Amino acid sequence: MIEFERVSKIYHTREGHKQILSDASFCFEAGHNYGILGGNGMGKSTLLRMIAGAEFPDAGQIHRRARVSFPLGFSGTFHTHLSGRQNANFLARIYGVDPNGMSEFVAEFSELGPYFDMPMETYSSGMVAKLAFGVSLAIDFDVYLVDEVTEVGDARFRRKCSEAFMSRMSRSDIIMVSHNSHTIKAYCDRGAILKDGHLHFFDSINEAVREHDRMMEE
Amino acid sequence: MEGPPFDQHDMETLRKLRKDNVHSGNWGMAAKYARVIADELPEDASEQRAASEIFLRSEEISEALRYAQRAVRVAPDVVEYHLHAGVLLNRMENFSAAIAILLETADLAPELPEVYAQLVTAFRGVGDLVRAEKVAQKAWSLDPNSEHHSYTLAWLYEQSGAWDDAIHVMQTFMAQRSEVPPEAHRKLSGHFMQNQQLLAALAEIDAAIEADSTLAEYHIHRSCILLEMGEREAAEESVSRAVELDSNNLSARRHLVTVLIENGNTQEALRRGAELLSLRPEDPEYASCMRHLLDAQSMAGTTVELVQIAEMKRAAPPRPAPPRPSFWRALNVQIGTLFALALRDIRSRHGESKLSFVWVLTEPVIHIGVLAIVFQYTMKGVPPIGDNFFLFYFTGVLPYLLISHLISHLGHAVRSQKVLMQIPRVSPMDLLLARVVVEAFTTGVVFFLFIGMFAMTGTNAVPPDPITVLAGFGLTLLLGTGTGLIFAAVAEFSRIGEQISSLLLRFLYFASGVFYVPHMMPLQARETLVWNPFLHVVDYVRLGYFPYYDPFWLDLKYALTCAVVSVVIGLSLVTILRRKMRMIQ
Repeated sequence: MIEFERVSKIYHTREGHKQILSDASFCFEAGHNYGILGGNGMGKSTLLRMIAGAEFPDAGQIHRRARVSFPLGFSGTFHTHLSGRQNANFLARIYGVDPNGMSEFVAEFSELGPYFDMPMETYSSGMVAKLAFGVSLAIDFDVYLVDEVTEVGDARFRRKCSEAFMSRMSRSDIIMVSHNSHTIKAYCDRGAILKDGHLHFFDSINEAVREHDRMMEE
Repeated sequence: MEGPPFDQHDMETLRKLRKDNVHSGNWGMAAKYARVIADELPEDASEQRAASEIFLRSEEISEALRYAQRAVRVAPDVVEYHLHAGVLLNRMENFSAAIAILLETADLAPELPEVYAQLVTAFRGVGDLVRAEKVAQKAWSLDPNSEHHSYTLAWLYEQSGAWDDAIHVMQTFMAQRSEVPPEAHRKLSGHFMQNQQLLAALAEIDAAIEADSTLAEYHIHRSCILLEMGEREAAEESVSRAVELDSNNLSARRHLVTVLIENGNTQEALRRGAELLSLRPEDPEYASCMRHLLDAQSMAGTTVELVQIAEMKRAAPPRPAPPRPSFWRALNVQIGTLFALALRDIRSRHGESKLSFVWVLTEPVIHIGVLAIVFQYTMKGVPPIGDNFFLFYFTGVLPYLLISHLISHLGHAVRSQKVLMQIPRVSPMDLLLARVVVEAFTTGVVFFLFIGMFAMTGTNAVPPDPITVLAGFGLTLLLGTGTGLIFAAVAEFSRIGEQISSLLLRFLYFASGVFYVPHMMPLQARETLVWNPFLHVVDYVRLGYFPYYDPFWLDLKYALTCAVVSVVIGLSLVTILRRKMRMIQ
């Protein structure tokens, strides 16, 4: 369960200040997958980073009673001078996972072959994404955060990813941000719309998507 | 085609030429003669009609229509001329004109089913299915034995949803026939299927296939019925038969894709779908089918599985909340994090090279070497303390390098590793402390490597008072860390921190007794210099090496106080600024 208690957040950009949350209290219950909708620039990604704990609120508190992932497939923490294995092991140690088990799983899942032991500066972007996905799956998070589903590799690999992800979903929850309502509908059972400093919750994802589409048309 | 008038004889010749060309199938030439004849005899209706027929055969429909209309004008009571004009108008899709002339025809010959059949076409053409149905009924009642009339009426009933009536028409027609054409079975099967009488539909299509098993379309239809009945495998068998019979039949192949999807054979469906799209890349339906397939592929049939997942989640016991971490557990995690960060730091700095420690040694070796060699000559062979220039500068340079690395590396530790702030478990403090660990570790390694190198040149570099040396390095580490943390905090606000720290390091190099001892300074200068806590820590390390060295100005309490105060200030600043340090921008 992830609880926001009277959280306010203002995001500073070059264009000015944007109130993402103002004195908002809400709760992501365990056992549900949430899809977060909202127009561009509403601060969906910032909200996701706050859920992850990578960004602090300006006021209020966020209580996490779950192991929350970094955004799925996020490759920004990889060091290009290090090999895939070293980067994977780094995250394993940070999250208290056995590094050997981690490298075994990721080597098998990501299908990088000999590249797994080469510096990541030699990787193609597809290889980086495969590694990132493998690492996310190797750590047993309670809640996976997904900021736009990124398609990785060929059809077969994508299928493998979604299968692995699906099987993980029976144990773990998802909080997802996407522009694609099709994707959100496929993964989430509950929805929320971020608008004007508040997160409005819907018990069914279909309802949320309908409402969002209606808002977009206005 | 203005020409000289033809006489009777010429006319016979022209008719003969026309006839010859008709016989040899040379419709283009025949049409030319027919036109001359018809234009020459404009009051002869049968010649107009003949010309129209020949133009029709040579695919010049508008010319055919012109002569057909002339025939009607000349002989307005001939049913056949009217009907022919109506047929042509239908063919040209001029349906309202067709309706007008055909209704006239029906007045002339109310019992001719063919007229009503043409009217059906015309009414359908203008979209008037109600009147189309009425005239179709008329045509069928006049000639219930006709395949065409029966099919048309049944089709029209089906369009209006009157499936029972459609079935009735087909059954009546088939009952009158001794030999039922397979197409009739096929049509009846279709009507049964529309009426959800699937078994009857299957029986009819089986009868059709028995009569003619070579038509792919029958097998496709059979497959549709089976799919509707839930017999997916049999459906796949049927449609595969259709594809076998006629591999060019795209609708058979399209249907196969549908059946494969239904059977969950997405891979094969994808393959077949791709084949189809490569044959007809411009077909929007094939493209959207393929898109749908690929979507489904990338989500692995999520709609079905999601229900299961939601159920599984509900059934599974709730995940236990992670236990409130005990102190030891927390410490363990903290140590693990620092170890991971330190390892990453070292590895990313030096890579996998086995020679990386040679690189670590380069800086102190050059530094100590240059100082030792230069001062050996300028100081007439006697170092300030002891008898070995190298050892003397070693005791000064090593603590100085520790200070310098701590201050400069801690200063940009957070900014240069901002990406790691995306990991909630890693705090800015972790990044800073990991750097401290790396610097302490590196200094330790360099220290022992130097002792080894001294031993190789025959110098004993093992300190006589190792505790003091260790304490001295510890104090150096503490003071350097405190100062470094303060610069890390300053770096959050301005890049000026970097310039200040490099100036400070240059100052400290001269002011901390790195390459001299404060003894050599005039009293006044020394009294100013002792305010520099770094002077004390360097001298303290030296004290562990040279027991007879007597730095009476050394104030351990002052150095320790400075170290602790700087660390407290540094830690406080980093704690206060932790949110700002986390911000990624």
